[in-house]
Amino acid sequence: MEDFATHLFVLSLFLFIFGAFGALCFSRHAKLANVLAHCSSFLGGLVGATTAVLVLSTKQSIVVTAWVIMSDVVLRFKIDMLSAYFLFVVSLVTVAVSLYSLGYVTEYYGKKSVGLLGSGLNLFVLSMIAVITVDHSVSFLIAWELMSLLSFFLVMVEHEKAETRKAGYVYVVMTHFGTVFIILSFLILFFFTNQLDFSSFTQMAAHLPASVKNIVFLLSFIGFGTKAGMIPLHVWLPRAHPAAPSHVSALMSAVMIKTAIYGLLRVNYDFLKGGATWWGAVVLGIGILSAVFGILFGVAENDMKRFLAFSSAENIGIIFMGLGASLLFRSYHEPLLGALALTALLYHVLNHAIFKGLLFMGAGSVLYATHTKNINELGGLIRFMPWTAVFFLIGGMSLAAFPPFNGFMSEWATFQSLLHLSFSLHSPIWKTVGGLAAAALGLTGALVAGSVVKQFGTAFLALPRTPHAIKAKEVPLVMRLGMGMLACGVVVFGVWPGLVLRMTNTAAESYFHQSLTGRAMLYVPFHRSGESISLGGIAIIFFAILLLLIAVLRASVGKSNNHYDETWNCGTPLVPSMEYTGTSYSHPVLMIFKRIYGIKRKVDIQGEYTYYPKRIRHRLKTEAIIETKLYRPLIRGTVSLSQRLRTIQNGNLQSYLAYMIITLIVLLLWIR
Amino acid sequence: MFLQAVIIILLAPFIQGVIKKTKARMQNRIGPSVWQPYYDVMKFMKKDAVLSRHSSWLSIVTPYVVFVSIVTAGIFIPTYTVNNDWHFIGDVILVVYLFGVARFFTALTALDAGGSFGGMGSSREMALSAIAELALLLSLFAVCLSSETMKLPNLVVSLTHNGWDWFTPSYGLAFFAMLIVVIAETGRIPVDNPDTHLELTMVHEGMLLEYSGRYLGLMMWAAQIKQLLFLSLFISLFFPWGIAASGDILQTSLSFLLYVGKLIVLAMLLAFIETMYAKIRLFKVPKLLGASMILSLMAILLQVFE
Repeated sequence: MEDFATHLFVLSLFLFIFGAFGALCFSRHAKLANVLAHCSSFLGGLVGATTAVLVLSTKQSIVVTAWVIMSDVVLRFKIDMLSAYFLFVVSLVTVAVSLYSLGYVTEYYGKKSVGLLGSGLNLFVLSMIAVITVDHSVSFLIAWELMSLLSFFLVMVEHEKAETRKAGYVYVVMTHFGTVFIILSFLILFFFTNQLDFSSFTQMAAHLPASVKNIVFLLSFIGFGTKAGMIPLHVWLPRAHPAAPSHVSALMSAVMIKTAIYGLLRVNYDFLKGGATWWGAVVLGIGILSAVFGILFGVAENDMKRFLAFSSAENIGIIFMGLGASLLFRSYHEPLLGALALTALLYHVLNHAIFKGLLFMGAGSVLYATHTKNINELGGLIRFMPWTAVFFLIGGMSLAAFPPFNGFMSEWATFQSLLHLSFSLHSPIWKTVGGLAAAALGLTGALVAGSVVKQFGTAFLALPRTPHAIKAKEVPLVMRLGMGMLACGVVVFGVWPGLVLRMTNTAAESYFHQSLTGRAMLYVPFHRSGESISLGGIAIIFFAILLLLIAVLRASVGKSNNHYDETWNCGTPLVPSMEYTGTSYSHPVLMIFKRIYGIKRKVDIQGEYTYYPKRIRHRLKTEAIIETKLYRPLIRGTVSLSQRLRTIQNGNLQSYLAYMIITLIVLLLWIR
Repeated sequence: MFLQAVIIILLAPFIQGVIKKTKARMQNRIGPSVWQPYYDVMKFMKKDAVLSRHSSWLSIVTPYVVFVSIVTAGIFIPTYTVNNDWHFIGDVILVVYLFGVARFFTALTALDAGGSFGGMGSSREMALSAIAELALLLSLFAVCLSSETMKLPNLVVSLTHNGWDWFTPSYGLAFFAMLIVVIAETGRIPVDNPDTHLELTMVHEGMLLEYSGRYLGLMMWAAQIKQLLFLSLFISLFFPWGIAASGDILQTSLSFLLYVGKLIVLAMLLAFIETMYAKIRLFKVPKLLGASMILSLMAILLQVFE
């Protein structure tokens, strides 16, 4: 069995490599390149997911030695339970996205090289798989860097747009900012172990001094947090995700930011084996901050993909809340609760990957059909694109954590983890914090619901606002299939948690030696306190009552007689410009949270008289507070620092020669 | 379980009637009979419906989804009996989110017909609900903290046993916090005026403008059930005395009568508050709910540092 799984894993790697090179070779024939690239990534994903399920069900990790470069430098893949779980997440989303891309990249025929795009996608997935499976810090960093660069290239596909170039620039700067911290944390671990592979990091964990552990924790948290898009290091996220082609942004938002979660888990649970109480507090705090601010910024967005990107920051916040709770429980020696919190966060990793992938593909379909992602220019799409509308609605409901979809399941588990901070830890501070964190989670849930109503309602309902929207047509079958796959996942992973819990259990067991009790097929028990939930049960009750209601109504008063007429509009004909727009929809929230946003509002009135304006331009900038208070000073500091340093690099050949001579003299003196 | 569903469905219009009647009497009017909401619902059910030509299938699906998800939530709120059989399925978080589903669909369909009134109501509802949900969870938590569970039946049992008395400061603060939330969530004055749909006041009613016939009937009935459920939740948290813990018929029927009595008293209290106060401005509502949050927070701190 183990051999079989190993072969499967290698096969999936080869499929991705084949897809990459095949697409490149046939890049002249757009159609062929498209089919080659995405079919092989589809198959690669399927095989990868099978491998992951095999490893998780047999609980035996597999090791693949790919390339012995030198006796010490070996490229080796090791899939243990944690890697396998993330491999499952990555592969599953890759399968759906590949299917979707088959249709989506037809948009680029004749405009861009489809071969390059397809091969980039394959290599990108390959690099992500490498990140979560290699077991050596150098190969990890190489894979990490490859992942960053490949995703950067994919973001830059539409580089002729100035906006995209700017987004790519911010992305590449921020991602390297993060990488520096990761490298530093690995370097410190190296100083104490004199080894670079993960297994020796793991073995040495017990001998690390507490102060070193603290530093490594902080460095890795900043490094991986940047990639995850935690606030305030999220600035690249709402820029890069909308700029990339939609199937790429689906992968980036659904999967790539999860590799950072993998990194954090690896460092905190394997290399450091948990630590001080304040670690949990820091992660929890940043989690709350990310969740609340992420969605507050998201509410204001009128660009579908930007909204989805901000909501990724929010979901990373929810995952961090779970991680914080898990670390706290660990430091208080509550293994069962720690395992439950870890389960909650792993579950949310999968769920977010699925519904965010679905939503990005939905937004991509809208873009494909209408060539705009600004919801204020859309409207009425539910009639022209019924399938996309349903899929987007399902994804949106899951995003807003509504039962019986999967988003609710993991958010419920996170809720319970936070509440048990106060129920089970006997410290007044955690008792208060647990409740407040749970309430903050509730606030984000409600805000997400509001913004999903805004996005879906403005884009898909009512009358079309512009010719773009009227001309919209339903997207091709393969794209619908890709979305449909993930939509099924949203439902199945919600009503049947047993499926996922089996996998997360295996991963959680390897760290806490505890597993969830009971047969968690149809309902999830939580701890000994008797908290439990069954979304399957809810769905059954819901439909039973629904059928009963319809039956009673039919029997007592018969069918409803419906007539159709114009919407009542105070006696005037209804025109699209009278509809509520996305901007007006989110206005009350902006006003309520005015202080937090630090809104910059600009109203330009054009025309001869201010009382009879010809045109009013109204602009809102919502992220102002983070940019002015944090990034502006930082950038100013960096610029002035580099200007000081410029005196050294003055472009004068003589001075460079002088540096060389000085260096030479110093070196000679040193050696002597 | 289904008995409870039937009871909450049938009892809800009566409570609405009691509120309306009390309000009328306090304003020196005679007012309609307490049974009037039943006649209204019946009338709506029989009527033909006029739908907007611009609306989609959501407009037809929504009333059913809203009605059913509110009733489903109702199963998990203890009313006159602490029935533990079904409660492994859900807890109070589920209840909050099921109400969320109902609100989500209502707000979504408000945009469906394309009129600006619907959008206005919908946008206000979703903005206020975010704050209201925060306040609701905090006040729930303030009460749940002592019994360390989010399962309502367990909570009620421990509340009746633990000698939680009215004179604990923390409980008293939580009471007022929750009262504000109940008013906000049932859409009553001073947060929302359930009797008009003028632009200045409308939140919930604004979203129902495009409904008629059976669909309007279902939506109104659902709103009444939700109101009943919030009152029941309030009763279970703060006056659970006399709730039947066993299946004994005599005890259960006694407990049922007591429950209806408590509901009527609470309904009168709501009517009283509604007569005493005027509707406040939309952007003052967050401050009111903020007051509720501060009260909950104080309640939590009092308990924790006791």
